[in-house]
Amino acid sequence: MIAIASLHELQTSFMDWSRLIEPTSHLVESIKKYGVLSPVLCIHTTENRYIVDGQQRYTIAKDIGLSHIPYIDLTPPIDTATLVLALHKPQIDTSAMLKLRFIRAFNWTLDAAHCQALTLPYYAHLKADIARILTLSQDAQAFIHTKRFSFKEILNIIHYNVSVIDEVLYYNWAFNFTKTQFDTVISYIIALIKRNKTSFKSIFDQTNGPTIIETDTPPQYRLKCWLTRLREMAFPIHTQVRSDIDARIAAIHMDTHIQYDPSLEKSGITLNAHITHPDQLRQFTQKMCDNTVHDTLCEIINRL
Amino acid sequence: MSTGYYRDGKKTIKMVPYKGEKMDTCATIHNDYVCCNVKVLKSVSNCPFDCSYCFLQNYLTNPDLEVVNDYTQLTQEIIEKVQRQPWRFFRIGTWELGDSLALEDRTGQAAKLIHFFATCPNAILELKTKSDNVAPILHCDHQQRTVVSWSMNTDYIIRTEEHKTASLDHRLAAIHQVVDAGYLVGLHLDPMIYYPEWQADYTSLIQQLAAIVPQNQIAWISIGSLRFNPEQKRLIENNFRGSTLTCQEMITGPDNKMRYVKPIRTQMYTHVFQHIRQAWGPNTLVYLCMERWSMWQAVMDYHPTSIGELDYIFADHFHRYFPHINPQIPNKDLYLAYQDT
Repeated sequence: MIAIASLHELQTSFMDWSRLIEPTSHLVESIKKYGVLSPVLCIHTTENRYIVDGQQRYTIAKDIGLSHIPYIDLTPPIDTATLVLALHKPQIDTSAMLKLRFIRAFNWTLDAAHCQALTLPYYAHLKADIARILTLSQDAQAFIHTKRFSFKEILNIIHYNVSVIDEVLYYNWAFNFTKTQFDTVISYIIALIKRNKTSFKSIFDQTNGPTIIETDTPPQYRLKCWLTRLREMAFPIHTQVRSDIDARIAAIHMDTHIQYDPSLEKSGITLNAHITHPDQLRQFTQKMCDNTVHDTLCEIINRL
Repeated sequence: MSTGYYRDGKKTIKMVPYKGEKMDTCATIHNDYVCCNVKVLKSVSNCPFDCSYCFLQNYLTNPDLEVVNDYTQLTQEIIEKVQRQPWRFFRIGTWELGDSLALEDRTGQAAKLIHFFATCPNAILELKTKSDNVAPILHCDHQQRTVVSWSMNTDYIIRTEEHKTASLDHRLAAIHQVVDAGYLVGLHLDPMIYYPEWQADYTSLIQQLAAIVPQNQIAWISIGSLRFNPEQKRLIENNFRGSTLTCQEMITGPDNKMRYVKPIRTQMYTHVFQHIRQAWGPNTLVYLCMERWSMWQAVMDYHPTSIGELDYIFADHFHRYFPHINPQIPNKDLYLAYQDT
């Protein structure tokens, strides 16, 4: 039976796990225009009435200042966790972070059957891993949820240090990370922290982060600049060798395109010249016979 | 996530029947590299040790620790394959998917293979281990046709990355025993790992080895460095969270393997190569594992031109320095022509 309840009579603790889900603008507009048309679903205990479906409708109603919304009380023959999972399974299945928040919300037993139900891996230290992930800030959890990180991908970024995720994401306003870019940044930062026994702040300062975030440029350009500096810091030897080779190539002043394997793994160079006129061929031949050019090319080949 | 299962499987030995072919070429063979064309006998699968860099984390789909118990069929396959190419000097190792000696006191498999290879005319066995479990093989009649090899690393790396393996001191003591028992010894300085004190530590390691292994009992020495594919990097980081293995300057090459950048590798290899030459002289067979010819050239000022040539070099080395093991003059043309077999 549909009834009407004051918002403050409804408890939302069974739906806290879903707070990462942003309401659609369509739903916001509809509720602004018509109010809450579809009743929220609740279970009624001796003391309180808990929403088990309709968290977004409840939140929007609260945000726009409605005082009452319609509800229906359910009397399910199953426990609350099973009910909530049954009602929201398709949504929970779309996000590893929602799964973990659901597990915590209901203190769900992590046995093989439950893990299988949520398509999570079942292994010895799963509980500890989930606990670590859930120490991430709400903002970080929201980012991971929005970017649809899989459980394995979450483990990959938190393996060393959970707090560094929050520290990097603090600058999301400046960089607007994509999932792949964030993954790359975290990979560099963690390697540098481990290698140099240093802090994120120190790396951020050394890579000119404070100046880059202040520049009046689009986030993607800022990120490109910062990633370049991070990469140089993470690959000092590789960067040095490549700079040296590039400088030597530039010094030759040839129209010929001189290529080499950027990973430096494959030896040798490739000369690529498009020649359309005998004069060009003559110039090319003369250049190749020039002792300075020859010696420089030999030096480059030897470096590779 | 197979990680938990992967470790669980290490706890119990399963004796399994012979199924499918077990002898093959080393899985890392690749035409971009100067590979040695060693053959492998997959008689053991999985390993009781827990090295952080181990590729089995990423490779094994069956996590069980399995040992093939059908010795007759195993050796029959070897006989058939070595007889098919009587001109070839086969090196056959049992280490591809596990440790050759770690379980020997419980399985006795290596001892049986040692006896078999003692009379196998054109093949030798390589047992490669990180254990000190040599007691069961000390009194075997090996005829020097088994090379007992150790994957050697510095004391620091053994303590921090090679979990559950024998300590450096125990490995050195085991090598000493095997040398005294007359075996040829193989040394694999692989994977070399870059860390602040690597230079002094690898120098010390070579000096300790030189003190116990005479030049005339060294079959070969290989040098290689840490390498893994990007998926394995993630597994290492997740399974060994305190490890700093993956934090150094590494780059993914065209073969999708991450390695230290070339200048670092060149420096490391050159350092140990020079110390190996100082310790054992110019006649010890030293080779690089999974490196291009240009790296050989940079480190050794020489390079084999193909996989076939390196395979031939092994045969030639044994013919020159251990003629009782390989009395046959190797035919280089055949090694070059059949390098893909």
